[in-house]
Amino acid sequence: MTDATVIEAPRSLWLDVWAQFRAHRGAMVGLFVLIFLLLFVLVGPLFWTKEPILVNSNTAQMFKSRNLGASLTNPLGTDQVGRDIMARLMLGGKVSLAVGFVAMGVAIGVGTLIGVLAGYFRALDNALMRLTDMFLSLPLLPLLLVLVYLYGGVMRAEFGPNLGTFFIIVAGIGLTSWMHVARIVRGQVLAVKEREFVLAARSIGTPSRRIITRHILPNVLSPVMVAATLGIANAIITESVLSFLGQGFQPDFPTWGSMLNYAYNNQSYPVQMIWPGLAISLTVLSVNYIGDGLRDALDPRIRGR
Amino acid sequence: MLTYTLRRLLLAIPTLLLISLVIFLVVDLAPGSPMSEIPLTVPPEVQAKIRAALGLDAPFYVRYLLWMKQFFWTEPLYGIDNLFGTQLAGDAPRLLSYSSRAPVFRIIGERLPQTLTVIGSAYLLAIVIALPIGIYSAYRQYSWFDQIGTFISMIGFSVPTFFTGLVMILIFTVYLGWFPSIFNTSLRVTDWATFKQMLHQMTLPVVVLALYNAAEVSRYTRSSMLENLSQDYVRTARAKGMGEGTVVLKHVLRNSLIPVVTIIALGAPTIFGGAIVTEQVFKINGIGAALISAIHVNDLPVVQTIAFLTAILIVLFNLIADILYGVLDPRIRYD
Repeated sequence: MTDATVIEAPRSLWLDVWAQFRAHRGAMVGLFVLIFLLLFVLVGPLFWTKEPILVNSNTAQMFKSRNLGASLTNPLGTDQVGRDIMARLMLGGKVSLAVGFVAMGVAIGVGTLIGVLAGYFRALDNALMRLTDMFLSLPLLPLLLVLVYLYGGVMRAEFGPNLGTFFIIVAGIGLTSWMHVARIVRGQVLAVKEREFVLAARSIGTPSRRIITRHILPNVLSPVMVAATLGIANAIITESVLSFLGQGFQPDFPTWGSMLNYAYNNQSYPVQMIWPGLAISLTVLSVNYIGDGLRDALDPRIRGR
Repeated sequence: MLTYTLRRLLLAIPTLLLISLVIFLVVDLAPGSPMSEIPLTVPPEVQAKIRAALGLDAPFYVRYLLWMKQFFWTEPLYGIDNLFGTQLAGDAPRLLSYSSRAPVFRIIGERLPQTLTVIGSAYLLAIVIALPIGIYSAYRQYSWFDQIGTFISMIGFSVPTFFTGLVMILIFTVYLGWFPSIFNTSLRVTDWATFKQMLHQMTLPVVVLALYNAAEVSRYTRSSMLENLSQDYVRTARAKGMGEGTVVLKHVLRNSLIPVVTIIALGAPTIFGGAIVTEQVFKINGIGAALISAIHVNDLPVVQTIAFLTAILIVLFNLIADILYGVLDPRIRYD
């Protein structure tokens, strides 16, 4: 009888997480929508080669092609200077998503660094947490508007109009949204560093740097991943708010937020507002659902129930 | 409780001072100059005189201390003078806007009522909507009401206010023509007709802001209710034959509201951020609009003052949240 024992396939943590994630319907739909949007902005321009930025230099043709409705040649219509909205939506999405991902990266990087330093080194804890509290009390949106408007000129002169704006927006969003990550990470680090395996590592003489990278960081990964997904949503919304308030990229350079702002000021064709707004909302909605699913999937109390 | 409150109050002072310095430096060290709006044909020596007249030639710490003095000493005195007709301030120099030369606090005073009526009613509406929804969807978890409620709150939470605002304008102003899309700031409520007109024009911005905030509050209410509903004391209350209404609304709700109240208090100042956008969408001439136009003309005193006032609000509401937490949950105070 002994040879009939069934040996279960080995299960890894990430397989379990994936299984739980797949059970979350909203998160799966969100993942598919996000992948679709990513394909749309990254692969789309390879097939849809209309000009998104430059205006047709033939003025008569340009005038005839302004504010068109949906047609076969322009499935989403054209804007007020005759550019194809679908092509602009692709380019704008690329910029908006790039801002979202990079700003999230900055926020996670700064937040994790400060959180680990505060949690691991007791001498730094008080000062760093006071700093975090102070940042949490700053009026973020007004300050961000001021930062981008007042310092944008220098950055634009330094790195060119679009790259400069990209840097200042990413830096601004990143430096104003790391605080929650820092708090979460600090809490986790405080708990993890009292565990036996850290003591064991220290007793064989592992330096602090190695303890942090090998033993502590992998154990704070799950809350950071959840915070990262929600951070992308936050960064995309903030970028579009800035662009919507006219503080983002140059007017001719599309992002979803600035397309919305453009269409809003050109109110005779309100339909033009729908597509960029829908794109922002869908992205943020799907990212938030993915975050929800990830939180459930990474929580060992929920997983496996 | 008193020591707890005092300790929180004392902690707030250095935070505020540090924030004021940060705001002042960020705005002041910016490369843009308040002179950029002046035509280039003005000769340099005249420009230097204008700079001196604006007080820009002093080193930054002098200007910072002067700003602090005006903010915390002169302006409150003027406020008292205005209220009681006294002459405490004498003719101490007030905090002036660079572009209009009007006192900054008068500009803010003119803009504040519009912002407060819209934001205040939106926030109240949000709480009134969110609490029952959160309670009921937690009580009937996974029912169709809960599913729909969670979905709608996820949408309200994710869709940025400027897009909901634009869609509302599109539906209710452009196609249906029910509500105006532009807020008439000069409307004074004097009788029933103007009051109705005020309600009419406030509907869209209030609904947009309320939807966004209701989504957040109802999510918190739901998860906090869920946590408490599975506690032992709920089973005990039911086991001793208590009515379902008493169990849910007295025992569970009171305990669940502790985090929700803090979230409501903490969210109050951040809604000013959302209001900047909503004011832009519905063309409300409030604080947010004042801030944006001041940024555009490099009107540093206005920008610094509005930003710092927002920071004071945030610190104040953090304080209120902390104190409320202490009042509601005796385990928090360490006395």
